[in-house]
Amino acid sequence: MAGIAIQRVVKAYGSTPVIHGIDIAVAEGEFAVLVGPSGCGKSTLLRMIAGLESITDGTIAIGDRVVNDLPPRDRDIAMVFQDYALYPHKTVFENMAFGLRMRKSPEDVVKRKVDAAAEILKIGHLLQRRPSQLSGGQRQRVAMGRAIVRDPKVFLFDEPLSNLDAQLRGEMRVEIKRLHQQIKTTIVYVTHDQVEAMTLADRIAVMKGGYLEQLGTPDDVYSRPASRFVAGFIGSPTMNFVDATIGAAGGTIRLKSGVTLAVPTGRHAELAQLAGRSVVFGIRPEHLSFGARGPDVVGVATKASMVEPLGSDTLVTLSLDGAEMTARFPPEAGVRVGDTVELGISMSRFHLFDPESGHALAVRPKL
Amino acid sequence: MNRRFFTAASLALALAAGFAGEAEAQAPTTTLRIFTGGQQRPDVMRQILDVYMQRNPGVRVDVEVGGATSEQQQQYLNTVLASRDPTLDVVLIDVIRPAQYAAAQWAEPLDAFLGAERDAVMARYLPAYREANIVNGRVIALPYFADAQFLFFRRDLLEKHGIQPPRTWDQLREAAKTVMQRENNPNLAGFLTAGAPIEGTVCTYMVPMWGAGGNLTNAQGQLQLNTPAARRPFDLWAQMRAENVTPPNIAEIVTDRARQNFQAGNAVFNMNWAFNWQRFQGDADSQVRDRVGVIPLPGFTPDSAATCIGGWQLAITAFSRNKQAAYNLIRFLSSPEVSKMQAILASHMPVFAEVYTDPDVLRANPWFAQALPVVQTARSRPVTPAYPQVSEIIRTNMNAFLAGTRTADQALQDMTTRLTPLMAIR
Amino acid sequence: MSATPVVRHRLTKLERAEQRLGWALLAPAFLLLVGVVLYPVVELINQSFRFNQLTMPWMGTPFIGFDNYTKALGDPRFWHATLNTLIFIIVTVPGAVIVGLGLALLANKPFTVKWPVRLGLLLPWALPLVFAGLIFRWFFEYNVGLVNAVIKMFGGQPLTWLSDPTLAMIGIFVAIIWKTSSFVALVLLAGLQTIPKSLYEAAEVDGASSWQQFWEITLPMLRPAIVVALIFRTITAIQTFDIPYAMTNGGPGDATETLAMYIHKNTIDFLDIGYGSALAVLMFVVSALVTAVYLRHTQRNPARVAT
Repeated sequence: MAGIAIQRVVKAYGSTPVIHGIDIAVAEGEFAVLVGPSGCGKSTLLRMIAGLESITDGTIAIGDRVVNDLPPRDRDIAMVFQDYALYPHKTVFENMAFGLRMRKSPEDVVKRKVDAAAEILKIGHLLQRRPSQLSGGQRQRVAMGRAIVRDPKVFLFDEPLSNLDAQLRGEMRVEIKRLHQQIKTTIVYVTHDQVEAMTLADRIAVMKGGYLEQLGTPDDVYSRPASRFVAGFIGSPTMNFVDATIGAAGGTIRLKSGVTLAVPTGRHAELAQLAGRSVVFGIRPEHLSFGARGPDVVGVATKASMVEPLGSDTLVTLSLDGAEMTARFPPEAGVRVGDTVELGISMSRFHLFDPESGHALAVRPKL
Repeated sequence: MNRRFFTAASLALALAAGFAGEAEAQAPTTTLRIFTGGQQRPDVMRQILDVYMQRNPGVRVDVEVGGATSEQQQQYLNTVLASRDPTLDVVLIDVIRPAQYAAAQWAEPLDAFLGAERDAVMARYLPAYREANIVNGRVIALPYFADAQFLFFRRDLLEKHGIQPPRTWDQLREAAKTVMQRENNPNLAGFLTAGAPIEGTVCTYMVPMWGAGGNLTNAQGQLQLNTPAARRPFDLWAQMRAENVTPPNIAEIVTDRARQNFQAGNAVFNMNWAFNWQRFQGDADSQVRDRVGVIPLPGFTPDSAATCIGGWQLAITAFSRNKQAAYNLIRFLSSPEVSKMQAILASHMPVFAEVYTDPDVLRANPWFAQALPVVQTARSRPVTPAYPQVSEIIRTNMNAFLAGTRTADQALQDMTTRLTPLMAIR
Repeated sequence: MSATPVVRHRLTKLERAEQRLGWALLAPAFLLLVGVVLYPVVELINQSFRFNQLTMPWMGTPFIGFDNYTKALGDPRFWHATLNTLIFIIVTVPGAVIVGLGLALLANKPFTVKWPVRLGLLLPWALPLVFAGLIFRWFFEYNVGLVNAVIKMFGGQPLTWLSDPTLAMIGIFVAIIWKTSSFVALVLLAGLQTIPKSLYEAAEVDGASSWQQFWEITLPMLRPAIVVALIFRTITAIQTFDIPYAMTNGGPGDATETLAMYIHKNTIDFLDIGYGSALAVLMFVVSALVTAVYLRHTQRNPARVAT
């Protein structure tokens, strides 16, 4: 096992840079998730760790060894591919044994290790089949099995669940988490699905356009997003954003729709330096309530323009004089389209962002 | 070149003018199609046909040009004629083929067209061609031009080293060795003839055999391969090869490759067909222009020489729809006038004895005077409808012997085994 | 076929119209096949049981049973030509596949300038066979050929490539392999491009060297394409004609004569249609057998496609 140190790493194809100097340190045994929309460079970064892409500038170290110039086979890593990359002409056993045999392990060791891995993944009965005879979930397990038999320093996962249906994806997510808890090997995991990222990661690296937007624990990126992009990317339904202006001495926030929200006194000092500035006001649907009850909750009169019942919750889109916000209400609220609703805004949970740069302006302290 | 062109042009004009009076507007045009080979100077044939068309405005003649070798042409004609295709009216065929055409009934017999003139017309041709074209009493084709194998030699080299043109094979070998040794040019071969498995290689076998007084069959048609004469060609060529007079690759040389090598100045002697004279003297890339001499082939003794007869014949296909018009055309093409035109334009040897002494012809080909006796005594390759098989058996064995893959005994044995059943077919 | 009773129902008007259209659309292809495949094959078999020499039209074309076949089986020339053909198959089919595989691997590399490889790949394929034969005849020519020129450059003695039986065979092998490997390469290139790149990446991560990747991934994944190439190449090799015809015309003697050349000689040169047909039928039987063996082999091991 080993940690990974990614320092000022740049990737360019010809003169076109696609990764602009990224620093990430993954601790030994940590489960790190690279997340971001397609084209953000997360897969490229993973492939650079694997050695499948060259490193234009900067260094990547696995353990205390810089691996920039090492071929993949000498980096002591294992990788699970999006399409699983199982060898179609080999049996499950041969697929899993391949890496060990290439490294000239004795046959009895190979057998023992493959059987052990197969047991962990519950695929012992599939060992003599070929990949074409397996279901999607079974192939996924074989792909993981092929990775774990080698007992490498680092596991790399490249969107391993994206080819599975929703239910299977959920099951495999749990499997992977359990696997990590069991073997405790360092994992770098790439996904575009923020739910996977949140559920699996010890730490999440959110990437956009070749830049690292934020690196932090799931709670960090959820509760203290570093930018409007991170705030919008993490969490579902997405955070509500409304243009706003900060009132004198930071005591009020005036939304562009004309509503003025009173800021709890605890946050006045924080906002005072922003007085008079244009900002983007952000608040998550789960921090809006049906009716204004509780401390620091400000009530606003709105009108329901759309209702999406989810069963456990109901998402309601509300308009307040031109601005729109989506709120997560309990189903008992029984809101219908056209109803006038008093919306409670939890003023201890809002975020503010710079309208130009998108950077977070006021970072809510840890609760 | 220029002189020759003017002779031809004035000849053509004279012929055209002479018949201009008859050239009246004629009713529906007849189109005839004649097949010739790529090496039989189709350009000259076209010139001659233009004259014919001027004289006979009712007739148009198209020329179809076939492959470069006799076998390639015949392979094409075999498929055309076997399918009874009427598109060809007249075909130009090698002197070895009339028997096959007669047997296959591909050629329209000409006796009916010739009528009462038949014997008189045929009597004017050189005897060898008269005989070659009459099969089982029927006239199968009319001769277009004659040919025979001669010995072309480098006059300049022989004169330089004070050597007389050879009259025997021994003299030829000694002459070749002397020149090769003194010239010390590794590219210079002593003697070239066809050795590849092609038609020309049949003559490579037959010429020395005839020269030794032998023949493939006796008068009763029985095979004569157990005679000393049948073995002489093997001895001769083996000795030539052993003394490096013939090059190591003799077994891959085709007739035209021998011509090219000689023409490039890379051989002292070349046994080849008469028409090549025009190439050696006329081709732009010829390295031997005015350095070539041509004499009859040598013999084992000075007066036992023999040579292979060649030449091309005009046959009307049995499937032609314009047989009368085709007959009129071939009578013209096998006339003394056309023989003369060909002799001047292409150094094609005439099929009439008197044309050899024509002053215009001699001016173009001074050596024709001594060529006539050679043509008159030239020998025919076996006359049989199964000639393609006979030829294949002889040339394959000669070729294998020259390549060193068969001994003379093995070659003679194979020839005997395979020729015997064919000789039964008459 | 099946024993289950078929419930016949009356076709609706629309179904009948569709059926008629179907037959009408099939008819041209069907007639063409009958005309250019079925009729000639039947006629070939018919002729093979007859005496038919075009040089002897007065003999007619009488039925003579298996005489032509008996003659063939007792004809040393037939056996020799068959042996030569087998030698050409045994050498040039694997030869073309090995060279073709090399070319395909080369063409599959991401070169920035692609046209030289593509030209090299397509040119031999686009060239008529007989041209290839003529080109190589000049290469191996004794006096001015390229091969002897190179030998002489290095101080060697020129070789009589086309008039020595062994050398002539080697020369023809080279020409055939050069000519046919580009077809194999095209087939294999298509196969190579269906192999997912991630398999190589997985193998790379698993620790396989380039050589091990070739043996463990490329070759097994390419097997279906190789079998296809082998079938096509073997069938054309059975019919080897043009290149030896142009290079040696079967010489020296009949040392490089193939079965197809012997058939051609009998039918086109000797005009012995009956015997030539019998030889052609024998060659057809050999082709059919070889194809059947290959097909059985591929059916038993169906191509496994990555999913």
